[in-house]
Parts: sequence; structure tokens; C-alpha cells
Amino acid sequence: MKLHTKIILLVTCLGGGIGLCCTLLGGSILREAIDAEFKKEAKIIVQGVGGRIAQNVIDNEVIPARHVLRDIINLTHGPGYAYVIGFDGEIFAHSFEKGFPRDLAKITHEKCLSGEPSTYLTATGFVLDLAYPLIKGMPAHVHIGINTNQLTDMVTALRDRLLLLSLLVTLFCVSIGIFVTRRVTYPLRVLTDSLHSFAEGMAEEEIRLSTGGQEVRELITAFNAMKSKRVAAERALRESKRQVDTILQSLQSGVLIVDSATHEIIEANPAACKLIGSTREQIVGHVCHKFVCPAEKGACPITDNGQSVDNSDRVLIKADGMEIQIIKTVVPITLGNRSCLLESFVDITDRKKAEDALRRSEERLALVVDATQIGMFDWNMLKRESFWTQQHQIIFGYPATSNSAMRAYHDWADRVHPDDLPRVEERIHRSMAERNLFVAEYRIVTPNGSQRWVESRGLFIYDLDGKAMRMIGTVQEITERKHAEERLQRAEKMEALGTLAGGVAHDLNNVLGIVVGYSELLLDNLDESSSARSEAGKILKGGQRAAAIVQDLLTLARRGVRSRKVLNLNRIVKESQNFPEFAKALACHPDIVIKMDLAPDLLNISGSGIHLEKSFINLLSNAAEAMPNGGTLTVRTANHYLDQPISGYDEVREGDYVVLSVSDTGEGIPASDLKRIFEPFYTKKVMGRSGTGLGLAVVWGTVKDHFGYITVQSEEGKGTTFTLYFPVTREELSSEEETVSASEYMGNGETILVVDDVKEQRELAGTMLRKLHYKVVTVSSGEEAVEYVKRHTVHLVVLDMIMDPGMDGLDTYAKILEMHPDQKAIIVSGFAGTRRVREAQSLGAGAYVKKPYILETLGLAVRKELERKGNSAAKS
Amino acid sequence: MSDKCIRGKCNSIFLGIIKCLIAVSTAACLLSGCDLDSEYKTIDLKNVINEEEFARIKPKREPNVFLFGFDLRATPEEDAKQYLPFLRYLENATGYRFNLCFTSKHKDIVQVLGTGEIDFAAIGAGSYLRAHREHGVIPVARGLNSLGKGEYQSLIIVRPDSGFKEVKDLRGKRFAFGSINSTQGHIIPRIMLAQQGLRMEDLGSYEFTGSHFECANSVTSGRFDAGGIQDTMGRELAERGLVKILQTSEYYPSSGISAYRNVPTEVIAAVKKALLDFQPLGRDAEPLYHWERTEMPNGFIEAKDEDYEEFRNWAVKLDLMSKFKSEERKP
Repeated sequence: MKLHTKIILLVTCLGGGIGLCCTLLGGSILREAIDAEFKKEAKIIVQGVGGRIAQNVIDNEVIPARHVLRDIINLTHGPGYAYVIGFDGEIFAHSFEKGFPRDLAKITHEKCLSGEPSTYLTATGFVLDLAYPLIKGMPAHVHIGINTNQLTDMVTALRDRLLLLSLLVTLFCVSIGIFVTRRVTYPLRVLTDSLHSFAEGMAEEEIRLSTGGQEVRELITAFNAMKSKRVAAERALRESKRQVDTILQSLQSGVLIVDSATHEIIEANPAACKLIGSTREQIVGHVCHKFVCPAEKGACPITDNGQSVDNSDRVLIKADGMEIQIIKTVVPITLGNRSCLLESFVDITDRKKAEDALRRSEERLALVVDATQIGMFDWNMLKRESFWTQQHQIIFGYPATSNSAMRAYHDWADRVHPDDLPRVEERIHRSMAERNLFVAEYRIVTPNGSQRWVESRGLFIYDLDGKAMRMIGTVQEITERKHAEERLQRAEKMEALGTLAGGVAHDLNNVLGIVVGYSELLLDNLDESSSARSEAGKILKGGQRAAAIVQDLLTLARRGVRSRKVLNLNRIVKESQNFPEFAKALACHPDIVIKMDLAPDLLNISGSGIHLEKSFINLLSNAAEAMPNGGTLTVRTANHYLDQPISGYDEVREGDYVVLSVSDTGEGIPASDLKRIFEPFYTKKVMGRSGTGLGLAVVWGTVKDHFGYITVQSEEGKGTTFTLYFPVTREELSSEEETVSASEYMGNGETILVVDDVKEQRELAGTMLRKLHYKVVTVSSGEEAVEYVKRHTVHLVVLDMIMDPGMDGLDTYAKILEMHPDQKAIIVSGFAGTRRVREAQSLGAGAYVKKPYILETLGLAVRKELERKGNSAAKS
Repeated sequence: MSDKCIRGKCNSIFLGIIKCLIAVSTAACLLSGCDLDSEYKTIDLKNVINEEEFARIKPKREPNVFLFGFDLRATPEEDAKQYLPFLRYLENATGYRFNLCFTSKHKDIVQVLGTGEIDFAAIGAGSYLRAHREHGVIPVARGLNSLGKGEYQSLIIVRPDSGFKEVKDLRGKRFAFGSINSTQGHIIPRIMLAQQGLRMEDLGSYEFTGSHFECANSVTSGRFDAGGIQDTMGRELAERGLVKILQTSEYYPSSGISAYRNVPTEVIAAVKKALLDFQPLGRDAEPLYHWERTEMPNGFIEAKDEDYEEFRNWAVKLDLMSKFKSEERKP
């Protein structure tokens, strides 16, 4: 529809509509106004007589009320009827001459005295029924019916006039509308033609129009301006598009433009084509998942998951099917009215490989660090804070709640043992200054008070000015190593001291051998009635006792335990009470009470009774001396099964043990001395009064030789307990050794070659053997022995194992065997059976006899070896 | 936006304007009334109803609605304004419905209550004595005075400029009473006159004006020399300088609420409880209209028949226990 047609139609409708509305609304408003006036007048009337009628109703005076109602309807323009409803809802009085209308009575009762105004149609026209309460809040009402015919006539006449006026106004509006629209639309038609031309790109010249009003001229001007701007904008747009195309073509990142709805690729730049390995024409039109992130099909972060941007590592499938790693960025864009996705991506295959390699390297390093339980730190010396690994924190006793943590300098310094801190800090500064590797071993104190040894190593990193900025290094706990070193040092020390003691004992043992040997010979040569026999016996016993002491020294050297018997510690303890040392110890301390708590079912052990007795006596003496003012000395034995390490030992052999403990309630041993009490000659006692410094060393050596363990618990002022563990043997106790008759080891004139570098020993052995009816030849060295047997035959050689200088017993025996392969021999030595003794025995030598020489022992050994049939087994 | 699109939108707007105009015109037609006669009910004013049919459609008294009467004291509108909020209170407090009922001046409220034409009534002590004696009306509650007691007084008032000093001075003078059935407006003033040795025949003239208000009016206007009036209204008038109080009576049982003998006991109990809980000066004051002008301005206490014993003696002595005639007057 043309604009001018619309305007004319609009003006016509507008004029006609307004006229019609005015007509109708005017009539309605007028009617309502007159209606309201009637109501107002009726209300005034009722209010004037309401009081009277109310009283009439209360007093039930109908006639006066009816008079009042008739007076009302007789008024000029008065109502057509009036009636009153009483307080009981009943019609009380009315103005009707011939009776109350039936219809009105029904309506009145049906309306339940609502008092709402109503309009009724009667034979004479409309009646407006108005009701007013006689007393507010009470049901009594007066109703007035007003005839509205006159009102309706007035309204109708007025409405007709208004209608005519509206028609005339409408015709006038139409005429004016036609004229105006033709004049107004002329420039628009010109403008329209120009727009068509512009749209077709033919008209770039400006429109020039002399007609039209100011608005039209402004419109033309605006149009011309718009056209100029539009032309300029199109040029700029073309330039911008060219630039965008250039950028896309030049980008090294692949770029795809994808339709958001269909995921169809609508554009691909050359880099994308190159990465995919296909042409633009072969890419465009396909869904993007064919090439990019196929796994996310149906789960696109942007279109399916609602993300505003996706920036993640994806997989790109090349045209040849090969997959490469890419990092892809996707953002939603709008091109025209089309929602699209701009996807840009680059190949990160090389980077991924490098990352994987780095990750694997880090994993290996982490595994190594975990496996070695080495803590690592990175100390920023400028900030004075340090990065600690979890292991570092564990070593330093911090709660390792995470894999790593930042710690301040004082976190480290607070844990370093105060005695070690200055040394370690000095070491740090020196290493830093000298640009050396920092290495330090120091102690740390954990929150629970325990001490740990750590070894720390670190390298410094310096800035360009040579100032140390960081220190990176490791921390390793070496507590166990430190303890092991200490134990090793102690063991070495004990070994050295033992060797020393053993050397001394060896010489002393030779001397004692003479004393014991000759005293035995002396006893044999003396008559039973001789008075010198008693003295000789005492010499023999003293010598034997001295020999036992020497055994202590040899025990220290751990070379002494050569004879093992099945023993019971309870018996050792009981018999020890008869020893003079025991009596002497108690005599010096009469206030001591001894308690014995011996397990009746104590198991047996295998060992040396002399050593065990000596150890027990030593412990008793020590305990007694620790209680100068008296106290309680408790001796306990018990069976015990060890299945876990005991104090002072890293590990123990699991099994049954017999436990001997000696406790006192004395002064206790200071903690600083506890480590050294087993060292030989380490004593706090007054020399000369008691002890030689060997007592506990002997105990320690004895326990070692018996494959046992010893622990000490001591508290100053409360006492000390030594606890000794000895492995159990399941063998039964041996009966007492029987006395062997001398006839059983007497010789038959066999020739015995005695080889000993000590003259007295040599002579002693010779004397004993001659006494046993052997022919004895003595030489003082191995070399002499070899020379002798070259020319002579002997039945047996008694070989001292240790001879100095020259060949020892083993070498001598070996030389002799070269000449006489069946040569019999026994070995004698002051030491326990050593490796060289066993080698000699493996070559064919017979028994090993421990010095000092004892007639019976030596005789039995010689006899037994002579009677042994050959030594072929040894040879083989 | 394309040319086609713009054109389509313009057409839509144009058609919208045309539609609006047509709609406005139609609405105007409708609002103007358009003479649609068929909408109105047609009635025939000449077809009248006979008595039988009228009686058949006459509304019946609603069941379970209790009628509450009272002595007219001011105009019907004023009385209704005072009692209607009070009845709404009773309805809320008891759960029963109550309608206010005016008593015609041609009827005796004692008779109306006694015969069950109404169920409850606010009546004075004198009316109660008669209603109880003649119809067994039940006392429910009495109004509290400002002292918190269920008693009231009457005043004998004169004009402020009159020379009367005592009641005895009224011998031979014109005397106005309130309603003939009023305790404060008639019976107590009668007792006051009797106590001073004045009988009705000793007065120059007397008249029952119908209410305390009219009684006061008759004195202030000079129509009568003195009048017997309720204490609250008399004191209010005296404070405003309109009258002078010549004498104040003793305390007698105040007006109260009484019930028709056949009203169910539980209803009476509920009403009694509501009345005793009634707080016209406090919680329940808001909807009330000039409740202070009633004879129960401060609430209620329980009423018992024995409370009226002394008053009953005076009434018997003065022969006031029979119904009074409204026209009884001495010209």
C-alpha cells in the first residue's frame, strides 16, 4: 500500500474514530453525570427524612412513614416510588397506592437487603432504584425509584448532534490528508528512485531537490552524507579484508574457521593446509573433527560444554592419517549473522618430546632421591629461605605434610646441634669463599630430643659479581654409619689392646709353664710322706692359678677359649661363691646384701668354666665396690629367647639364650664413662687398692668368645645392671673328668723329637717324656728339626707352633713331611688353636696341646698320636 | 535491515493503529450504553402482591442469631454507633452472632426481654428488678464505674445560676426525669427525693423526658428547674459549666446486661466471660464509639441477684416495681 494511501486512510479513520468516540463517550459521560445528579438529589431527600422514618420504623408507626414517602414522590422531578425496609428485612411502608408490586417485592427479598442500586425496565420506561440505609450498619433501608426516561431522551439527542459533527470533521480531514500527502510524498519518491540507483551502484552523485520542506531538505542532506560515508566505509572494508587475508595467509599457525552449528570448516589458511597436508578445497566443507581433536566429537568445549574459550593440547590427524600433537586455541566469533569458531593451532610435537624426556628424567631423579633417602635443598641466600624436599624435612624432624616446603634459615640452624653449628657455619663460609664443594658432617637435634648425624654436601651458585646467591645440595642421615664407625674403632682398639695383652701373656705363659711343669715333676719325685710335697703342691696350684690369669689376658686377645664344655651358669654362680675373690670382695663390704634369683630350669651353655667364673667374679667385685656404703647386690639367671636386637647391638642371632644379670644399687656409672668401661686398663678405681683395669675387659672378651652379648643399664645414684646373654646348647652336662691312669700313656721307648725355641719349655717337655719312657731329642728351632730328621728317624715330633725367629711349627712340619710323608707330630702352643694350627693338622699333625705342659695331657696326646694308624687321610 | 523488512514493519504498525481506532470506537460504543434494553430486568409496577403471598416471602428471623436490646438514650443513629462495635466484640469473643434491636417507645424493654423478643439487653437496675420479678430474667454482668465497682449514682442538677441550695428547696418546683424506665433517670432520683421527704405530689410539676440527654436539655433550657440524671453525663455537663450538681445519690447497682431466661446456659456463660474480659479502656477501645457515654464505660463485673437487695427494698418502698406509664406526668 502506498504511503499517501495509508496517510489518507489513517486520517479518515482517525477523524472518524475520534468523532465517533467523542459522540459515544460524550453521551455516556453526560448520562452518568445526570445519573449522579439524580442519585445525589435522591440521597439529600432521604437524608432529610431518614431520621423521621427511622424513628417511625423503630416505633412501628407505618402511617406516618407512608405519609413521608408520599411527600417524597410528590416533589417536582421527584422519584416514581419509595418504600422502606424495616430492621427485620420486611417491607415496612411504601408509596404505592394500589399495593406493593409483586416483582419489586420478590427482587427486594432476593437481594437480601444489599442496598445496591439497580435499574429496572417498567411499562413507563427505565427506573433507577436507589437504596439508602436508615441507620448506618443496620439493615433498614429506604428505596427510591427514579424514572429515567427524560434523561435517556436528552442523551440521545445530544449524541445525534455529535455524530453529525464527527462526520463533517472526518470529510474535512480526508480532503486535507489527500492534499498534504501528495505534497509530502513527492520528495520521497525522488529519494526512492535515487536509493534504487544507489543500491544498484549506478548513482554516486548527490541528489539535488528544490521542493519540499526543511525536513525533506535535511533528509536529502542526510542521505547524501550517508551515501558518502557508505562509499568510504566500503573502501575501508575492502582494505581491511585484504589486510586480514594477508595476515591469515602469512600466519605460521594453522587457522580454521568452523561453523558453530554444523562444525563444518568454512575457511582454512595455508599454514593449516600445510599442517593437515591437504589443499584448502579438500579441507573446507568437512567437519572439523575429521582433522582436529576427533576424540572431542560431541564434547566440544565451546559448543557442547559452554566454555568461552578453549586452550588445550590436542591431536591433529593429517591427511595421510598420521597424528601430531598440537596446541589449539578456540574462540567463538560471529561472521555476519553466522556463529563460528576461530581455531588456531601450532605443531608442538618437538616440545612434547622434550617435555616427556624432561619428565622421565625428573621421575628417575625422584626415584633415585627416594631410594637413597637423601634430602635435597635449594638455599636462596639472598632471601635466607630454603626449599626442602620431603626427605630433608623428615631427616630434620619436621612434619613432612607435603612433597616439599619452603623453610627459613633458622629452621635449619635451630635443629643443628649447638656444639656443631659454629663449625658448620664456618665450613659454609669457607667453602663459599674458596668456591669449593661444601661437605660437612654434623649433628642435629630433633624435636623429641634425639640426635642424628647428617652429612651435607652443597654447591654454591654465584652471580656475575661473584656473590653467592644460592646453595644447592643434599642432606643424608649417617647416624648408623657413625655408630658403626664408633663400634669399629672400639673393636679395633680392643683388638689392639688384646693383641698386646696376648703378646705379654705368651711370654708369661712360657714362664708359668716351667713353674707348673717342674712343680708337677717335683711332686712326682717326692714321696708321699715328704714335707716338701705340700709346698710343691702350693707352687703347682699358684702356677695353675697364674696360668688362669694369663688366660684372662689371652681371653682379651680372644685367643684363649680353646676348651669348651657343657656348663650350667647356675653351677658357675654357686661355685664362684667359694672363691677367695668372692669372699674378699664381700669382706671389704660387709653392708652388702646379696640376693640370688636363679632360674631352676636354666638351660646349659657351651663354654669355658674358668672364663665364665672369672667374668662373674669380676662383675661381683665391681658391683660390691660400687656400693661402699652398702646396698643390695642381685644376681639373676634366666632363660630368654631373643628375636630382636638388644641395646647396643644392631642385630642379634635369634634363638635361646641364658641370661646372667648382676645388679647393684650403688653409685651408677656416668653416661660419659659407659662407652669406655669395657676398654682394658680403663678404670676409675684406685690402682693398687682394687682392680687392674682388666675386669670388665675380660667380661667383654668372654662374652664375645662365647658368641654372646652384654648390655649395661646404669643410672647415677641408683645403680647398675650388667646383663650377659649366652647362646644355649642342647647338650647335656658332662660328668666330671675321670682320672686317667699313667700306665695308659706310658711310652715304649719310641723316639720323640721336641722342637721348642724356649729352652726351659724344651727341657721340661723332654723331662716329662723321658719320664714316660720315651727317647727324647730336643732342638731349639724348626730349621734344626728339619736337619735332624734328614739324618734320623723319629716316631713323633712335638712341635711348638710359634717360634721366633725362623720357621714356625707349620713350616717345619711341612718340610719334614717332604722327607717323611708319614711323619707323626703333635702341635703345642700357648695360644688357642689358630689357623696355622689347623693347617698343620690338615697336613697330618695330631692333637693340639695347650701350654703349659701338663704331664698327663702331653702323655695322652703323644700316646694317642703314636697309636693312630698312619695319617693317610690327612695327606689326601 | 532490508527494505522488504522495513516495509513489512510499517504495514504492521499502520494496521495496528487502525485496529486500535476500531477498538477504541467499539469500547466507546459499549461504554455509552448503546441502549441494550435487554440487559435490564423488566418489572410490572401495577401487578401488586396480596397479603398471603407477602407473608410467604417475608424473611424469617435468622436462627442462631441473638438479639441485643437496650434503652434508647440518644438518637437511634448514635445508639447504633455505640452498640454495633460492642456487638462485634461479643461476636468475636463468643463465636455467636448478635443483631442490634431497637425497642419501640410503645414497648417496654422489660416486657420485650422477658418474653424473649430479644435475648439480651442492656438495662438499668430498676428495669432488671422488674424483669427478674416478672419474667425471671437472668443477671449477667454489671457495668464498672471509674472506681472499679459495679455501682453508679444519680445526680440532681439545676442550672448554674439557680439559687437552689438543697433538694428540699425543690418543693413545688418543676422537676424533669429521664426515661420512666431509667434507674438513674427516674428511680434513684425518686429515692433521693424521698430521702429528703419529697414525694411526687410535693413537686410543682414533673415530666419523664425519655432520656438523660433530654432531661439535661430541659433543665439547661429552663423548661424545668431541676432534673435527675445519670452521674457520668451530669458530671461532664457540670465540668463544662452547663449545670450545677445539687446532690449526689448513694451508690446503687449499676446498669448491666441481662439475659432472657431461655437463652442457653452456655451462651450466657460465653457472654458473661466476654463481658468480664471486655476492656473498653484498653485492648478493646479502638473500634468503640463514645463508650464512655454508656453506663458501662469501664467494663463489667459479674452480676448476681442478691447485689440488688437494698435497691429492691427502696423500689418496693416507693412502689416502683410495677410498670410505669410513659404518659405518667404531673402537668
